[in-house]
Amino acid sequence: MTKRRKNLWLTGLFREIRRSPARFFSIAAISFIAVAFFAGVRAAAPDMKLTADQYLDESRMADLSMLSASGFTAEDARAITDVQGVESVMAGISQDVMLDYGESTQANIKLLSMPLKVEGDLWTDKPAALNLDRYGYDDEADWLGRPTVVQGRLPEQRGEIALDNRFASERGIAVGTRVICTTSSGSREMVVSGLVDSPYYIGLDRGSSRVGAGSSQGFAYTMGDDIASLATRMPLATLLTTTYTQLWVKVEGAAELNGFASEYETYLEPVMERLEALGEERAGEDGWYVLDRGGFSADIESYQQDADRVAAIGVAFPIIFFVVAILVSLTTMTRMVEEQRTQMGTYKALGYGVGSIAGKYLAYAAGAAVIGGVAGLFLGFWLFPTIIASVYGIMYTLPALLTPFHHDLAFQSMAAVLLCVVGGTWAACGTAMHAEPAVLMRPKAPPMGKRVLLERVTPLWKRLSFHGKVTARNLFRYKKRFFMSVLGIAGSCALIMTGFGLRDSITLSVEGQFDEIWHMDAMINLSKGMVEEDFNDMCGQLITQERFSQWVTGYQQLSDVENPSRADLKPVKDCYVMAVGRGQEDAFYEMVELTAPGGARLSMDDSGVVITEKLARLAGISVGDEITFTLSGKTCQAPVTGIVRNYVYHYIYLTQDAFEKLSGETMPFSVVYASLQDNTEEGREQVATALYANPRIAAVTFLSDMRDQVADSLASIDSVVIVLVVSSAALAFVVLYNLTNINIAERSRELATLRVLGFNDQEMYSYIFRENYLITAIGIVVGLGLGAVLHSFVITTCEIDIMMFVKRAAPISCLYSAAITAIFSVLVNAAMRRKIRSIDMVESLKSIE
Amino acid sequence: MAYIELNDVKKFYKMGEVTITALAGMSFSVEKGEFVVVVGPSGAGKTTVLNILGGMDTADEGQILVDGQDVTRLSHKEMILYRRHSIGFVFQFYNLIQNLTALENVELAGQVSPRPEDPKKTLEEVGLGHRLNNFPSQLSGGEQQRVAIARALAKNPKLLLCDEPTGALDYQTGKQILKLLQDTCRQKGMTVIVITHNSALCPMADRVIRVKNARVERIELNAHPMPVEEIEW
Repeated sequence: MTKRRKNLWLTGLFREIRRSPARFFSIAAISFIAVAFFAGVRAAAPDMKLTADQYLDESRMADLSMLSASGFTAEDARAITDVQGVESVMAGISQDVMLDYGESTQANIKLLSMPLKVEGDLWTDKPAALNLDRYGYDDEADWLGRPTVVQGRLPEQRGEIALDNRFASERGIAVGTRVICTTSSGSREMVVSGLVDSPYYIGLDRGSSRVGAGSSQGFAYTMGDDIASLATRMPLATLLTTTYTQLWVKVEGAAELNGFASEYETYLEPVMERLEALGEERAGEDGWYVLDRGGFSADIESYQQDADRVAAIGVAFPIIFFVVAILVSLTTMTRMVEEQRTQMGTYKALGYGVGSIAGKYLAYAAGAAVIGGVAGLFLGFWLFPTIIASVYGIMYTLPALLTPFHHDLAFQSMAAVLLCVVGGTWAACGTAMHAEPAVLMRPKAPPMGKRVLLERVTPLWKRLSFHGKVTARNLFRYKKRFFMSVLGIAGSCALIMTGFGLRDSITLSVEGQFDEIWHMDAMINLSKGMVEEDFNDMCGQLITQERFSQWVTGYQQLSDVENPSRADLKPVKDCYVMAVGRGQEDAFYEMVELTAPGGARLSMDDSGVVITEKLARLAGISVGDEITFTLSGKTCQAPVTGIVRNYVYHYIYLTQDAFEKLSGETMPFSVVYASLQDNTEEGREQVATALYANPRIAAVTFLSDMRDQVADSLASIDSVVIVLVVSSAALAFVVLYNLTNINIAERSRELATLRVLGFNDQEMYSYIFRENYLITAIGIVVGLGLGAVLHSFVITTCEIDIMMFVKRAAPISCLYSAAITAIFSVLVNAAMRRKIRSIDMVESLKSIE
Repeated sequence: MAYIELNDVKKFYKMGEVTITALAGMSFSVEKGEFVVVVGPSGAGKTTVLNILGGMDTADEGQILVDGQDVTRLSHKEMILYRRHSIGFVFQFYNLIQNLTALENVELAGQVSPRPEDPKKTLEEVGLGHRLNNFPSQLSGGEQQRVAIARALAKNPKLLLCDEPTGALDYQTGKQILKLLQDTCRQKGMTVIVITHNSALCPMADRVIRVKNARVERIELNAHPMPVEEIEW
């Protein structure tokens, strides 16, 4: 094009934009929403992972944690440092203590050591027992997982303690407070030197504790020697050598990888294997435990899962928004092309090519899409991740979310929206482009009136009021627009419903598990199985009539489960195998309801095992198939006699007889399921204190705590629900607004005629809005159906492995979705009233028919 | 007092800096039951005057009285009522609702009028008793215009305003329509005002108002108006 021609073309384009701002805005708005949603929701998971990874890298968080039953010596530490791939090792000791921090206020916390001088006793000239600071502070040590000081400072000498910031803030403990740490070995007074956050505790979980009610309420950093003086469980050997309870390892090169990516895990594997081998060498058959971040930090694991869940949701939803974007641009540009028919015909007659004529419309639509889309990118990349992460902020202690600009997502979303909008516009130009100029310059005949299908149903048609007949005919006259409106409404309603449904599924699952399936209050686990008689003796001592109203004993362990006939499926990890003591089956059924998905009550029999539904699904198992799992160290294979409903974790249930038949040995006892007389917080604390006094008890899990944990971790879904509902509502609004706008513009002549006839404002509104309400009603019905499908899809996609979500939504959610959609319909109509009221009769009737 | 009276009515349109005078001071009166033809060249102001009389537009200055009622500066709601009860409008391009049959189009008028005529009867009177259930797209131009007239008449208005009613019709059909209008005027005593640029129609009117340059140039009264079938042009 010559410069002059190009300028004319551009001027024409800008004038066009100024002339019909509402239209330009509609396309820009839908592009904005679609891109913001797509890019924003998809950016959330990467942003979350990036933020956490950067935090962990900056604090030099350990990659691996090593534990040993007999503790580690300095030589062990040195040997580990020499292992290929190990960059740095930090030794630590820890101790659970009761903390007195105010007037008769107590909490149980875990003391962690400031980095220790790992020298070993062979390198000093004093025997270990006389070496007063065996656990001295090494201020030059490479602190793996350095805490962030929020207030005050880290301890610089003995007698100082830095508390968990969250723990301290919740209780109003300030810097400078004098506190007392007590264990069965004695107590020590300390002063709070500062409040810190630790990368090892990014969530709410503070780990389990052998003191108090079973779980730690906070952590604290203090000098190793102070911890050693309170130590209760150091093996005898510590009198002779310095031992460490835990070693932290940093792997060479691992920091460059994103800690939440799968390459990271595979990268660590060879190093982990080498360390395990070294452990067998040095510590004999007990070996060493080598755990990666997912293993030693439940919070990091759940953070990863939370992020992945958000990512899963971000996959399917944006599609609806883009479909609507196509609809909106198609209808809007069709209208524009129709309005400008004669102009187009004139240009054609003058000799302009199809390219330059269509080009104007494509440029118009593409321009709107680009402006809307780019704005959407900037808002989306910041807003959606921030909203989603803000809910996590309640549960996680992480630095402010990083919201970088994701070039890949930006490109994808802009490409997608341009494709949709330009595609829709091209389709709109379609027929007009190929028509003869003369045809275009003749005004288009209005769509002919036709009998509506409904009219043939005479009894129904007769009963319709005059207005009803008019509405029916009008709806079916503009079929394309009718379907698009219904689709747009249905889409938003479906999205809203899915949002609510998601929340329902989770709530119903949690309630289902803790109200309908599980009827016990506590699960008590031993560290090792005991012979039946000994176990019963111990139970007799511990479990008194006062505390427990009912109990069932048995054997429980974790196992991986595989389906031998499905080599293509991965084994299902971390399933609980629960074998019920002989004769206690009926009592067990009262505590754990075994119901088939269909509703029938099931019971175990000696020939096989009963497994939970999600496990069956993951392993591809039906009733009658065989599964392999570990039983007391042995790999066993057994047929599945029943599949039961269960929502949280995986379980395999069998009888004692079945156990003994499969494993060939007598069943040890290691677990008690119990109902408490007093299931209040104090009651539980008493039970825990009493039970933990016995060294054989490894863990006491209260179902009320479990329920809270599960519910908390899933509360994050709420943020996604809010995002969804608001975006869908915006979508509904834009769609309805746009389509009503077009409706009114296209039928301006008809509306002006009615005005001239003397229709008052109310009658004018009804004329148009009756159709809108009917479209909304139909759209809602379709939308609820679509929503059910979408909901089911999303639930399956964003389910984490250890959970099974209920696939229904609560009926009231349907009501909410319908109501919200309806409200938006009403709002749009209210906004349109002004436009209808001010229809210029004279102008509308002037144009050539 | 005349049935309709216009006193020095002015109407201006502001288009940016330019002010266009559509009516520069129109004055005329019309008696009840008269057949009036308003004639003049394009842009003279004929349509504007009809729009104002019909309650579709407002005058900027002057006074308009219809059946003793001052309708010059009515509020939005009052204008609606005025149009609803007092006016029947016939357009050049019919403006029928495409989605309704002929009968339903006339029934529509019945919805707004306090004392409507029977739609079926009205359609029969305009000679369309056999086309009640056809859609406008199935009717010829003349038939469509008849439906439009029936629609206007069914409202039982005080005046019937017609803006170039035969502009889109051929000679013969146009004549039939004009005859229908003339007959309605005589038989029902309806006051009919017809806008046209065709001065050949003047003999059929009781009163001819010639409009030029946004003013009334001349008003002529015909003592013996001719039946339209006798006029040739």
